[in-house]
This record gives sequence, C-alpha cells and structure tokens, in this order.
Amino acid sequence: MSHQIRGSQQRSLTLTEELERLEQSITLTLQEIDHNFSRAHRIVTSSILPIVEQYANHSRDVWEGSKFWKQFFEASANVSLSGYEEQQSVQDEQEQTATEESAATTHTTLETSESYETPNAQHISTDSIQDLDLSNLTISPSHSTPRPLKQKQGGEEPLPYRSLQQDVDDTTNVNVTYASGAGDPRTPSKQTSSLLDDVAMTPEQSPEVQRRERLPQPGTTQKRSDPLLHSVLDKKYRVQATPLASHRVGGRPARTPGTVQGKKTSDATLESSPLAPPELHAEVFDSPMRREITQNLKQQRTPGVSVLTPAKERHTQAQRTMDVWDSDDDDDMDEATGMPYGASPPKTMQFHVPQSRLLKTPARAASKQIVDNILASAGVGREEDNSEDFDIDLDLSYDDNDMDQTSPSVVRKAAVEDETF
Amino acid sequence: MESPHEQQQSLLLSRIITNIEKLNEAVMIMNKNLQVQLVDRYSSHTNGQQEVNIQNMNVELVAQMFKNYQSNVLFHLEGNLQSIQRLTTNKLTKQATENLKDPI
Repeated sequence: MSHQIRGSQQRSLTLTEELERLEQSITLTLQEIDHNFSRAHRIVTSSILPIVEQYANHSRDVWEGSKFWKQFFEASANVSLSGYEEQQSVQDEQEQTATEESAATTHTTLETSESYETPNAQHISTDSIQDLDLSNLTISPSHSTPRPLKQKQGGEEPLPYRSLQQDVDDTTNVNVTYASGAGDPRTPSKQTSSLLDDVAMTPEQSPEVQRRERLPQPGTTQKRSDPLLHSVLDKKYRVQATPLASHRVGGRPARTPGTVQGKKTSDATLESSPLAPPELHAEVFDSPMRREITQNLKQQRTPGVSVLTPAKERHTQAQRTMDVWDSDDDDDMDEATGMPYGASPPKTMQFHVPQSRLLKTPARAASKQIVDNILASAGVGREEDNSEDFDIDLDLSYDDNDMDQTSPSVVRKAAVEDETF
Repeated sequence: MESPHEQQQSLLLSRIITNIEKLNEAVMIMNKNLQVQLVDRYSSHTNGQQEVNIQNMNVELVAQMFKNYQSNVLFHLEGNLQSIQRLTTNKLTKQATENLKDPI
C-alpha cells in the first residue's frame, strides 16, 4: 500500500517536472523567437534600408544617364515606349492566352523578341535549366534569378504579405503617371510588333527576311497584349509602344493589322531614309513658336474687335449698350439721340452689330416694351416719329426705376454702364 | 491563480507582437523605398514621385535596344565587309585578266 502511494507520488512529481520542463522550453522558444524578430528588425532598419536608399539613388542616376538614349531610340523608331503595371484581372486572361500561345512559342528561335514577348518563355526559363542558353541570349542577367511562379499559384488563397503589399501598392501607385489597366488605349498590334522588329533583330538573318517571317504573328498571337518585361510576385510589367504623332510620309493613317500584312514590303521601302528630310521641314515650319505667333495674330485680328483697346470687357459692355440703342433707333436717329448722356462714342465703339446677335438679344422686345410704357405714361401717341424719339430719350434718363422693374437686365446694364462714360 | 510561467510567456508574447509590428513597419518602409522614389520634390520638371522599378525597367529597355542596335550594326558591317571583299577580288581578277592579255 505504501509502495503504491510512493509510486503515485513519484509519478505525480515526474508529471509536474515534465510540465515544468515543458513550460521552460516554451518560454525559451518564445525568447528565441523574440530575439530573432528583434534581430530581423535591427538588420532591416540598420543595414537594408540604407542600402535600398542608396540603390534608389544610384538607379535614379542611371536612369538620368540613359534617359537621353531612350528618347533617342524612341525618336528614331517614332514611338514612345512606356512600362506599365498590369492589373490582376488582365493577368488571368493573359494566363489563358499564354496557354494558348504555348504551341506558337515552341518554335521560337533564338531571337530576342519572341522569348521576350511571351510569358511562356519566362516560365520555361525559370523552370528548367536547359533554357539557360535561351535566357542568356535573350534576357539580361537580372532575369535569370528565380521568380516565384505566380501564375501557377494564382488561384490560391492570398497571403497576408501579398495583401499588405497590395495595400502599399494602392497607396503608392496613385500618382504614378504610367498607364495601367485593361482600359488603357492599346496601340495596334502592328506598332508593337514593328517596334519589336526594329528593336530585337538578330544578325542571323537580314532584317527584311525576319520581318517577312514574322508577318503572320501580329494578327494572331500578338493581338491583345504588349510584350512582357517583368513579372515580379503578382505583378506584371509590360512595355507599351505608343506611336508618336506621325509626321511621316504625308501623315499616313494608323495601320490596322489587317492592312499591314499586304503592305508590308511597300512600307519597308517607304520607311527608308531618303524620305526623311521632308519631315524635318514640316517640323521646322510647324514649330510651336510659329503656332503661337499665328494664334496671337488671329486673336488680334478678330473682326469687330478693335486692336487698340485692351480693355475688352468694357468694350463689349459698351458695344452692348450700343446694341440696345442701335436696335432701338432707326436710320433717322442721330448720334445725339443714340447716346442720351451726351457721351461721344470712343474709337472702339462698334456701330455695326451682326444680325445674329440682334436676334439673340431681347433688346428689341425690351425696347418696344419700354417705349410703350413710356408712351402710355406720357400719353403721347405714336404718330409723330421725331418728337416721339426725343421723348423717349428724355424719359429714359429719369425713368430708370421703372426700367428696373419692367425691362430685362440687358437694358438696365446698359444704362448703368453708360454712366461710366 | 496564474503560474509564473504563464505570466512570463504572456509577457514574451506581447514583446514578440511589438517586435513583429516594428519589423512590419520597417519592411513596409523598405517596400515603399523600393517602389517609390522621391525625386527632387522641389524641381519643376519632375512629377515628384517615380517608381524605381519602372525606372529600372526603362534602363533595361534601353540596354536591350542598345544590344539589338549593336547586333544590327554588326550585321550590316559584316555585309559591307563581304561586299567590299567581293568587289576587291573582282577588281583584282579583272586586272589580272587584263594583264594576261597580249598587248596589241
């Protein structure tokens, strides 16, 4: 009996010891975890962040240096290249098309553009070692780093880091000027393919032969997407080639993929250098300075507006008053009756009013109404024209209060503005 | 009654949480630095912000274009060289045949 009690006590002791040991190990593990996290934080803040800032500065310097050459190549190809970030919804569609394109890309040679423009090639290069040759030829060494296989994991649950990164992207990408999304204006596929032809030709064959060989591509495989440049995590960066405002060969219209295939060889001959000088002449004669000058001249010489008076608003106001009174009087009315306050007309005042403006303004109806009111108040009949006009002008000078109530604002404005003269 | 182990573990857990928060913040700052570079806010000709990644993509594009330009130049130079060699050999053979002719 005593043996049993002792044995049970020993067992309970060992159990508590075991519990104690477990608790201690848990505490130790937690301490280790805490230590690791604090060390990670220290490493990130003290060593990685300054390096990243340096990297940003250096990359900015590099971009500043190579900006000129990008513009140079863009100008020579008459396109503007821009990288943009593709949206997620487009990616899913792209995934489908990529699987469709897989058959088309199996025949790719060692040309740069073909492995460059299809997402499949990048997947192959990340997956298999035997494609290292291809990646060496086509893609810069930064491409050869293994990328996470985004498209294969696309349907999985979103990781917290990804959602966090998405938040960061949302906050940071607001002000980015690059075009993004599916709704962006897409250039015709010919333009991108022609760009790629220009950009990515290898010396195995002559450029013309390569163009002819790649003729059926723009209509089929390259129809909807721009060439893929990068694929980082869940993002895809693509290159968009927008044709510049073409001054080429008498302003050729934008080519559609359907028409391109027939015209391919003739275009190649048209784009040769002998036709370039006329463009330069056109640019010279169509410089923005010249445009500004001509616009200024046009603005200065608008008919019906005097060049001498810069105060345009007053001029128009005065003109409006003259409209009122011109519409009121007839040919027999002289200047003294036209200008009731004795103000001599300034140089800029227009006596000719276009018919359309007269029809638009309610001046005629308003003046008739005023005349009727005045005549009714004065008790004068309308038989004698000259005396009637005289009465109208005299009465208008002190009947402004009545006009405020009855006449439209145009007439009142005119009366007020006349006092400034 | 709370055991001392539990108390210590809860303290450790809260410490871990604060450390993770700090680390998270640091990583977010790092991502922001990678993606957005503050470019000379006070200069008039820049928009203020520009993505480093996009900049690097543009640089890569330029490099690619240079590479292809170089290959094109090489291709054309080789073609020119071959044609020049062909012309010179033709000329030499012509001269040789003319020299071999009997003087009239």
